[in-house]
Amino acid sequence: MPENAEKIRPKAAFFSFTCCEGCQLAVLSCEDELPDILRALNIVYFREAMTEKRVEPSQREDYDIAFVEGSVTTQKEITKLKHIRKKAKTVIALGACSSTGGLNCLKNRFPMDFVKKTVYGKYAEKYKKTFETLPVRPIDSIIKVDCYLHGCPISKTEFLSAFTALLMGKTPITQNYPVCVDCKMAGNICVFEKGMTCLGPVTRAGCDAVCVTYGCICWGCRGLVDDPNVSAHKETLKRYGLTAESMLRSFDLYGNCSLRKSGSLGVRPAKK
Amino acid sequence: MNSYGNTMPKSGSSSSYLPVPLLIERVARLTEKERLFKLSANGRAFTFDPGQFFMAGLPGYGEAPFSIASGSGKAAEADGSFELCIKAVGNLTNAIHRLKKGDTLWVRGPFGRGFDVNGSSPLRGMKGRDILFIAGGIGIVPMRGLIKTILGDRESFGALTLVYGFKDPEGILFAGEMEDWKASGMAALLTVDKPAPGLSPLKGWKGHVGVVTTVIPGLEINPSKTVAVIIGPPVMYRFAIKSLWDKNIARDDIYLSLERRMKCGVGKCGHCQIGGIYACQEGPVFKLSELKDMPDAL
Amino acid sequence: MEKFSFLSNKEFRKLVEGLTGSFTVYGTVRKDARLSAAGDGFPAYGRISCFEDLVLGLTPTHLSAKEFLFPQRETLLKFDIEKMTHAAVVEAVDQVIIGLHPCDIHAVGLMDRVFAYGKPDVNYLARRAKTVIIGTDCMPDRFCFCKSVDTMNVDAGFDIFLHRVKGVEPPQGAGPPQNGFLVRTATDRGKTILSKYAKAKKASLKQLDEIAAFEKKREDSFTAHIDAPAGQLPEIYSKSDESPVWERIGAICYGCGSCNNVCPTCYCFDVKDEMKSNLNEGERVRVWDGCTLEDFAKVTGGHNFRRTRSDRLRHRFNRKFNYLTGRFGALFCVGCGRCSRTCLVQINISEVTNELIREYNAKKRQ
Repeated sequence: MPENAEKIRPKAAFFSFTCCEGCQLAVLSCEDELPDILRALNIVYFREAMTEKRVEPSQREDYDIAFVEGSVTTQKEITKLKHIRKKAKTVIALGACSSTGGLNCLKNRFPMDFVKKTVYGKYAEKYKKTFETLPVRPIDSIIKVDCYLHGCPISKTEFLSAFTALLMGKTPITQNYPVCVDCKMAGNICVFEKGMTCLGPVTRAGCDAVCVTYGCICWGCRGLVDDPNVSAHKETLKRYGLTAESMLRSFDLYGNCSLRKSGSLGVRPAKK
Repeated sequence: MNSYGNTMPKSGSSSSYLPVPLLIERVARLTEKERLFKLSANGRAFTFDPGQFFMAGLPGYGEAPFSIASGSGKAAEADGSFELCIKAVGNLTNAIHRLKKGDTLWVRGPFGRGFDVNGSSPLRGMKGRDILFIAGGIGIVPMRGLIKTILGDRESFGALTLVYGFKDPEGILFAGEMEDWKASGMAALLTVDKPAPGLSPLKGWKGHVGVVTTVIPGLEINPSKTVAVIIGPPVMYRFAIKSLWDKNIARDDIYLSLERRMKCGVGKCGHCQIGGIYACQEGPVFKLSELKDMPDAL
Repeated sequence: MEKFSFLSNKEFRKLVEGLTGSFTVYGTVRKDARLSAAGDGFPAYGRISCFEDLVLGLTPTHLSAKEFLFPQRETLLKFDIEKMTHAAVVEAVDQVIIGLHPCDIHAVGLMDRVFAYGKPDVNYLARRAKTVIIGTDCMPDRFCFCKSVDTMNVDAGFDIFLHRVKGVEPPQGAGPPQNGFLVRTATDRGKTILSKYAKAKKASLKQLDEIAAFEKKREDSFTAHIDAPAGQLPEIYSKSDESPVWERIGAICYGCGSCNNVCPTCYCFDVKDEMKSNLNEGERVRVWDGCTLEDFAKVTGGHNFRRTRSDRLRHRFNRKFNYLTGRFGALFCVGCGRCSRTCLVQINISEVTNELIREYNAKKRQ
C-alpha cells in the first residue's frame, strides 16, 4: 500500500436508525471480502463492528460515503440524519427500513397514542418526552438519498457490487424489474402453482429470489418496482382466493411506505 | 416452415466481444459535458463510413455505442486515427471523461450501416444532390463525420445546408469548425431552444431561438433535387419529418440515424431491434421509406 | 422401417449411466413433489448424476433447456485493471441434455440460427458443438400448440430420439414385460454414443404400430390451436399493430419478464461488467434480458422506445410470429406454451393470436 494511502482511502461511516441492525450484520458477513473492503475504505464510524469509541456525526468533519440503515421514528433521528447529509458526499440507504420504511411501517396503521400505550403501558403517559414517537418514514422523506440498497436484509452481492461501483466512481445500479425474473433464473416453480401467493410480480428484484428458492414466498421486502402493476396483482390475488383484507395486509407488511411513495397514498419523498 | 436439416453449427475462431485497446492521442473539451477523443489506430486499418459507430468502453465500466465523429474517404486521417465525441451522462461516460492523453480506451467495431456517400449500397444517391443536414444536440457528432466526408469531395454535391440546434448557447458543439465548413461552401443556420442569458460566454445571444424544426419552413428547398438527413434526439424526428413532408421531400430522400440501446453491436442481444430490423446491423442509418410499418421506429 | 431400433429399459439405463460417467448430463426431473397437486412434482430440467434422477415427462418443463446452451450468466471477457490484461473467455464442456420434446429441439435449431447469424457467436456455438441432444416423445397439455406451428415432429436437430414403448414380451416368455424405447438417431455422434453405451435391437412391427398409435393419439389430443396456417401468421401480425388486443393485455401484464425467461427461443441479453472486491479483477458478462421488462429499450437520457407494457407485449409477440421470420426463415414460436403456462395474469399466446386472426379476417371481409 502506498504511504499516503490513508489520505486517499475514502472515509466511510455506517449509521443505524430504527431497525434490527441486520443489514450491518449482512455487511459484516462478507467475510471473504472484508480485507479488501478495509483496504479500500477508511471506516470511521461503524458502531456494530468497532470496539473503539469513534466521534459522533455532530463532531465529525465529513464523510465520503455514509451508509444509513433504519427508518426514522423520532425528532432526534431527524436532526441526526440531516447532520449526516450535510457532512456526507454520498448517502446510501442501507436496507428496507431506510429505503422504504420497512416492517416498521406496520406501526403507521395505528394512532401514535395507541402505539405508545401498547408498548409502554402506563409509562407512556408518565415519560411523554422519552417515549416520543413519530409515524415511520424512510430516510428519503427527510434527506436526499444518492443510492438505495434494498432488502430485508440487504443482499451481500448487491452490497459488494455497490462497494466496487462507489470505489470506481460509478453510481450503483438498482434493479428495476420484478422478483419473477430472479425467481425464474433460480429455476423455481412459481409459488402460485404450489398453492401459495406472493408479492414477487410487483416487487423489485436483486435478491436472487432467495425466499422462494428456500421454500418461502416473496413478502415484498425490497419495495415496489418503478412501475408496478398493482391493480393486476390485486386481481391475481383475488383469483387465488385472497380476501381484500388479507391482500392489503400482504401489501402492507413491507409495502406500506413504498405504496405511499408510488403516489397512491399521497406522501412523496423529499426533493432535497 | 421449420426444418433445419443436419446443419451442426461450427464454432468460429474469435470472440465478437474482444475489444481492442486504443491509445488516446488527444482530448478536447468541447463543452461542460462533451469531450472529443482522438484515438490512434495503433497500426490497424479501420475503415468506416460516416454514420457507423464503435462500441467503446473501459474494463469495469462496460461499453456503449458511440457514433464516429470523423470523416472518411478523402476526409479520412492518413494515419487511420479517428474521433469519438462523448457526452458525460452515466457511469461509463463519466469514467471516459476522466481519461487523459496517453490512456487507452477499449473499442470494438466499426459496426452498422452508415451513410454510404460514395458507394453502391441502397443508400447511394447523395452524389450530385442538394443536401439538407438537420441536426439536434449531440446529433451533430455523426453529422460532422458526414459533413466532413462530403466537404472532402465538395464538387460532387449540390448545395449544402446545415440546420442545427442546441438547448442553449452553452451546449453548442463545433462552433469553431463551423466557420471552416462555411468557408468550404456550406450554408449553416444555428438555433438554440433558449438563449439562457448570463450563463453563456456567448452572452446576449443574437441568433435564432427555437427548436430546429422551426427553421425548416423558411428554407428554400428544391424537393426533387434534395436529400435530407436528420440526426437528433428521439423527440425531434417526427417534427422534422413532418416539416420535410411539407416541403414535398420524398420518403426515399429522407435519411435518418436512429439511436437505440445496444449491448453487442453484432446483431445478437436484441436491444436495438425495430420491427424486423436490427439498428446495429441494417442501421443505424435508414431511409425513411425503409421504416414503414414499424410502430416504434420513431 | 430401418431407422428405429429397440432399447430395453435395462439398456436405456446402461446408456444413461454410461453418459453420466463421461459427460455432464442434464435432463428432465421432477421438482417440489410435496407441493404439487398430483403429488408427483413439477417437470423441470436439472442435473442428472444417476439414472434415478431422470424422469422423462410427457408434458413440457416450466423452464426450457436453453440455459444449458445459453446460460443465464456467461463470462465473455476476463480482465485485470492493474496488470492491464484482458482475454476473451469461451467456456464449453462436453454435455448431454436428455428429455427435449420436439418443440424444444426445434427451438434449439432456432437458437443455432440466431447465434450463427452474421458474425458467429463463439460462446454459444462452442457450447452447442459439444452438446449431445437426446429427445423424447410427449403428450400435449392444454397450452401446447406445436401442431399449429409445424413443430410437432422432428427429423433433425437431435442426436438420439426416444419413443416410449411398453409391453414387450421378454425372449423366453418369462418375467415381467420389458418396457423400453424405440430409438432414432440423426447424427453420427448419436449413433456412436448409442452403440458405445448400450445394445439396441431390431424394432418389431408391433412396437412400430405402438408408437404410430401413440403419435395418432397425440395428434388428436391438442386442445389449443392457432386458427390460421403458420405461414400466414407474419402477415396477420404485421397488420395488427393497431389492434385493441395490445391495450387490453398491456393493462393486465406485470412486465415481469417470465414469458421471456421461460421461452426456449428468447435470446436477448444484457452485457455488464462485474468487479471483484479487490477492484482489479473483473469480468464482462452477459445475462438474460427480456423485452417485456420496463428498461429494455430505454436509452441514456431516459427515452424509452417501448414505454408501455402494451408496446412491449406487441413487440414480444411480433418477435415470435413476425419480426424474425424474414431473417431466419421460420416462426420463432415453437408452440411449447410455456409463456401461457407461466403467465400469472393468463395472457395466452395462442388465444391472443387467434383474437388477432379473427380481427384480421373480419377486416378483410369488410
